Amino acid sequence: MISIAELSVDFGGVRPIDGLTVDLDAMVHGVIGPNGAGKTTLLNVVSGFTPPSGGSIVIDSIDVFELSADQRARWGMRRTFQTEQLVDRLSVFDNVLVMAETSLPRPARHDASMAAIEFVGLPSASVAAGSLNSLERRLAELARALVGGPKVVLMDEPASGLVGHETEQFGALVQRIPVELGAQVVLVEHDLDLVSTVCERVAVLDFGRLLAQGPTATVLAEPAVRAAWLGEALT
Amino acid sequence: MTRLRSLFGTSTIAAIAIAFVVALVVPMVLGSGWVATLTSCALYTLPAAGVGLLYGELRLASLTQIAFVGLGGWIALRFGIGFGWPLPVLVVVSAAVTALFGAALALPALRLRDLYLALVTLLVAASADVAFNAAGFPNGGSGFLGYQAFGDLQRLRRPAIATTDDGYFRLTVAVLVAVLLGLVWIRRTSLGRSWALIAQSEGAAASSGIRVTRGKVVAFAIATGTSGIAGALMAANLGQLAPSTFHVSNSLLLFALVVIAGSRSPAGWVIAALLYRAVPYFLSERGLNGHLATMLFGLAVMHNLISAPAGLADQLAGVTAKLRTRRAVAP
Ligand SMILES: Nc1ncnc2c1ncn2[C@@H]1O[C@H](COP(=O)(O)OP(=O)(O)OP(=O)(O)O)[C@@H](O)[C@H]1O
Ligand SMILES: [Mg+2]
Repeated sequence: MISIAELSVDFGGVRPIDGLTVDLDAMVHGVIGPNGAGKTTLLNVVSGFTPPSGGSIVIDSIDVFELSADQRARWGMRRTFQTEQLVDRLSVFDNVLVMAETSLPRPARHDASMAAIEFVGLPSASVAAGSLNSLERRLAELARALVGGPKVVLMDEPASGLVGHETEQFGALVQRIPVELGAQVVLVEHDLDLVSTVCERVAVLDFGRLLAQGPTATVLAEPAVRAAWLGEALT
Repeated sequence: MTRLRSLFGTSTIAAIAIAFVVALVVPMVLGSGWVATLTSCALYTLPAAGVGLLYGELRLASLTQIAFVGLGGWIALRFGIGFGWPLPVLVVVSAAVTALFGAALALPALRLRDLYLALVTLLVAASADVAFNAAGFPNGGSGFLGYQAFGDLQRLRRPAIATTDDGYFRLTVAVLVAVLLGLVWIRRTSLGRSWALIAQSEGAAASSGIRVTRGKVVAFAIATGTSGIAGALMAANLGQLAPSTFHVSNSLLLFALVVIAGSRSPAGWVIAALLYRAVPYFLSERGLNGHLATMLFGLAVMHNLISAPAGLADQLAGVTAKLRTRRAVAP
């Protein structure tokens, strides 16, 4: 479980996260909110790229602010990016291997990398990442995040750039992560269908604050959420 | 042989074969002036490789590489003339000490980005320039600096296996090939992969557990250590060194040439060194001003930026590939 308390982030006057207190307590937890709500900033603070101006984040009784970003990754905090980050000239295998090399002993690296590539369902490990289509790129980036004992996997809009059936395929994969790998997933996503399908619970951010949290169907039905998120007028 | 091929690839084995033939044939067919010039080219391929490693792998612009050649040369002269250490030891010590200096420079400098990093490395090169001029290069004098303006000026001797110009050329090419193979190999290790990810995005690298600063510092140490090797070999080749060889403008020029020639490929590093030393020599041999070369390089930079961002070596590879397919199509 990820316990966030009184978390704030300041960018010289702008407060993208403003006293946020929330427990992300489901194995697949959604985070939604309108553009600029602070979702990416939240992932950046959790994963160690953006320093907080106050508050705390505790995961499995570990104070994450004691660890640098790379230490968090080796501990098991993994993430994917809003624009996925693969090295085009390296093979899929080498892209995934990088994570294995920082988090696993040498003899285990090869098999673990292959297992992750197989888990996400990529047909070939040896092709250059530059030759992959957008779904395959998302899958390869996810494979890298899943290698070597992930504990928490943060995903930033993994479905952007995917079409309907691809999103479904990706969603099914996301649901397998806690079951088969034992890692918690935090999914930042605009695609509400995907969120409804895969997230047991969801938190709604607006202007860096928690607007609502609870079981996904309940939260998405709340009028205040629909107003903030879909721009619907309150009736 | 199959193991070699799986380690380095066919093109690398071809390159080793070419280097072997060059080392063998050049002294047979070319005069002493060209042998000396090509020895110098082989030496300068080492700092060019350092520039290429930092810029090609990590997009770090280091403008100090020639200064580190000077530092390596200084160390070799100091211990070679002062204590009579043999060349292999001098090479290793020069490489190690320049690598340490490189790492020490990198730690604070890497907090800076792009242009600022380039400027800081340029200032370091300028300071080294001043230091070389003030201290001189060791020539048998007393004290820490080992320099004397008059008296019994001593020279560093070449090793017994390579006392002639031809022999020393072959020795230099052999060392160059070994170092280039090492660098190509490093790119395929976990360190090389971590560089690739750092260059892609430092955020993605850190979130893959990579220690970003450490990766960059190690790259700097390797690049400057490579220059140190060149310095030691140059010192033994010439016997004495002069501060003007390591002028700050030379580091700038070498950087530009590596970018023109292709920072990611060993062929690009070799081409850069040929442009740096062989082209001016070719021009002056024909009674033209060697500085004409610098103007030509300026034009080449523009050409490069417009039409060949991956460098001359890449363009040449494109031409050979085209020729190959044409031959395959022809009946
Ligand atoms: N480095 C920064 N400096 C200043 N302001 C920033 C910085 N990064 C983000 N912001 C601001 O913080 C706010 C939250 O941005 P963030 O990227 O976290 O939103 P988001 O919820 O991920 O939006 P989107 O759905 O568009 O991805 C925005 O107003 C943004 O302009
Ligand atoms: Mg975002």
